[in-house]
Amino acid sequence: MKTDSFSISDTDLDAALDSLEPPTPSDTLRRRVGAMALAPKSSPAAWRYAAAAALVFAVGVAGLLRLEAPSETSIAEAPPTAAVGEIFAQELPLVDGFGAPERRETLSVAGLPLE
Amino acid sequence: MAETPDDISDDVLVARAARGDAAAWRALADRHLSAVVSFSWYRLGDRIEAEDVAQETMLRFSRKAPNWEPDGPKVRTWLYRVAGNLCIDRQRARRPESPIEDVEETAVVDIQPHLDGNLDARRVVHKALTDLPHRQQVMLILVYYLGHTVRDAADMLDISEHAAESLLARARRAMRAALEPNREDLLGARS
Repeated sequence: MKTDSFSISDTDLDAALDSLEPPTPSDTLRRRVGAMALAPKSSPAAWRYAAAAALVFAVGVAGLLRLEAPSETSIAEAPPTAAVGEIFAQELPLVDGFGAPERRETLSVAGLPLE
Repeated sequence: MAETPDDISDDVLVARAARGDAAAWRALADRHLSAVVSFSWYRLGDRIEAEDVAQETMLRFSRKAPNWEPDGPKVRTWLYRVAGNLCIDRQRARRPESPIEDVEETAVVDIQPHLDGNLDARRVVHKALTDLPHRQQVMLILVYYLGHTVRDAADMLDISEHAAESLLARARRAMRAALEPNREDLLGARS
């Protein structure tokens, strides 16, 4: 059986161990660690709720824009003012017969019937 | 009666710190930073490195706070584990040829043949300590220097209390063996 034959007693060992005194944290370290405090923020659940609310809001806004779109489109697509002497094609009847738009009398630049 | 940080458990402080309560975070830092620095310093024997390890440990703790589980390890235990791993990384970087696991029970202490006063005596003691096998070193630091009970230290190392006592006894024996050649100088430095 292995036996120890040290001349260093437990008391001597404790004294040797006690000679080590750890440093205290420096002010720099304390400041750095203190600055690690987390910024206030919401919990993950709150983030999910916020994301869901934002999605609903976005969908609602998109719906409103879609409702308003026809009037905007009509404004955008309104035929430009006819210049003198011009007759737009869409004013001309395309076909005759059932379902055809009511025939309109086409006038000349002078305001006289063309036919 | 007003509530003081000392009255508040670590878990409550961590929860508050995770919500952005700076005072709670400072209370946690005041409570644990010094111990982490000491633990790291005993492990590494270098103040600058010990502070680096402590800073990194606290940074990781701050990031962990939002996901802290109150039923998990105690804050101090978690901090020691993280700091311990960081210390191992640094020790391995110093001694890449001798991984920590390989030096278990085979610590060789290179002690200066001649000592010159208390400073060198402390260096010899610290070198003997840092050259101890990893788990012996941690056990000695936790119990002897940081004042934890053997049971607490056993919990921290996730070993039985009996194994912890055995580890502590081996650590002390190894320290005596390491310091034996310099006994006269060590005793002379104290007187």
